[in-house]
Amino acid sequence: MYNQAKKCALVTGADRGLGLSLARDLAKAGWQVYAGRILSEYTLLDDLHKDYLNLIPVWLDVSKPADICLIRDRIAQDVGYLDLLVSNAALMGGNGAAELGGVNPIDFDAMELSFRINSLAAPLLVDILFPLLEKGNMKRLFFTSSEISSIKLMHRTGDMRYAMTKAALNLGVRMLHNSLRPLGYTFRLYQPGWMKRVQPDGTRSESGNVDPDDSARVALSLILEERPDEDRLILIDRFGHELAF
Amino acid sequence: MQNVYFTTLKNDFARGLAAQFENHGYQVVTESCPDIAFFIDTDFPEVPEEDRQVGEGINAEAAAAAYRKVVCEPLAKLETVLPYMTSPRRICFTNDVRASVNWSAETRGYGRNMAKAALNQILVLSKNGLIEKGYTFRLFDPLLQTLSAEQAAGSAYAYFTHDRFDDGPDNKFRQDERNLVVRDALGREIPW
Repeated sequence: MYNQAKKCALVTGADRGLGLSLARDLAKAGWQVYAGRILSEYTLLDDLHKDYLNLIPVWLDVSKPADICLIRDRIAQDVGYLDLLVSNAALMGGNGAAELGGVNPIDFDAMELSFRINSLAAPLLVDILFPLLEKGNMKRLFFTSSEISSIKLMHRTGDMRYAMTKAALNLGVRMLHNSLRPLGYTFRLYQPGWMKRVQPDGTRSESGNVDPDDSARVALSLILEERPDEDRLILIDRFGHELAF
Repeated sequence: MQNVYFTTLKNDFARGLAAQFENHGYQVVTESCPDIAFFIDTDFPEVPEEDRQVGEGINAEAAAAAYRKVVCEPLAKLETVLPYMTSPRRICFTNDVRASVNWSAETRGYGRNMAKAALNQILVLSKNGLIEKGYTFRLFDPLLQTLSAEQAAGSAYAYFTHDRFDDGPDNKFRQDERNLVVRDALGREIPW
């Protein structure tokens, strides 16, 4: 069993982007980090593991409860507690994303898969990892949301699939907050910005206007710092601005 | 005669609302047909197996089933009806405070409530595109915990059939029809 002074985190969706950068920054800060991966073509986590033995890549499909249970058992055996959950894995809308009255009919199977990964996985992770989180000292839950989650600010007409799943995520986090804030849990709901896609070789795509490293630095400070208003659930961007739900 | 499409008539609220429309000269249908003026989702699906809170073993399959009932089933019906809709081309759904990110106090029913929040976003996003084609939207909480089905149906009929201000995309001060909100049967707005 580890000395509980050493913090332990699980970061989902850590193959690339915000998850990868955040997993690295946590490991660099001395945390024991379990970094969830699902993309076989990405080996950036393996490269990081060579530099940081405390960063452990683990296969994790967050839409599958059995996968989450395996990770729970692994962490229970290795460490025995979990201080921080970073629920970050997401499936983007992609080409042909659903639109009511659009050219193509709605792909309901694709929508459900997005709902399972982008929305439902968050409470499912917390539910399955709950015994470990209860043994952790920090009890901090971090969720990657999006500007597109805001119903109040919604001005788009397309990409219904991604937008609806992130709005649902916010509601799921609200429900978790209702249950767990009275037990001492603290919440971070983060809009990371339009990030450049990290390619398998680590280079960045042309599209996007935020480097994941920069967004992860802000995320890390949100994770590490206490807030004076922890009882409020807020959606916050990398500039510290609060977004309406 | 204009048609009003109901997704179901298998509850008191739906039957009461159908009676309101019929009393005002509309024909109530549950199958796609020409000249549909209103599409109304009157189903209140519940999936008891998913009524667990965190730490009790959330049932992922039950939650996904709730999502299919709340989002997929009515949207699939709406998709078939959409091309046949005629003025006021009004699309009406029910929702309630349990799906309000701002106000929800719920700790159980993740699938149902998250799906309803997803539906809110889908309707706002769809409204943004479809309003330019003449479609209008209503989101309504019938307050069935408080009101009788008959009272809720009367309030729903009034809200669904009442036009809201809309002076077009360029007049920012009279665009109520473009600002979709959730209203309850007492006329109160529920925040997203």
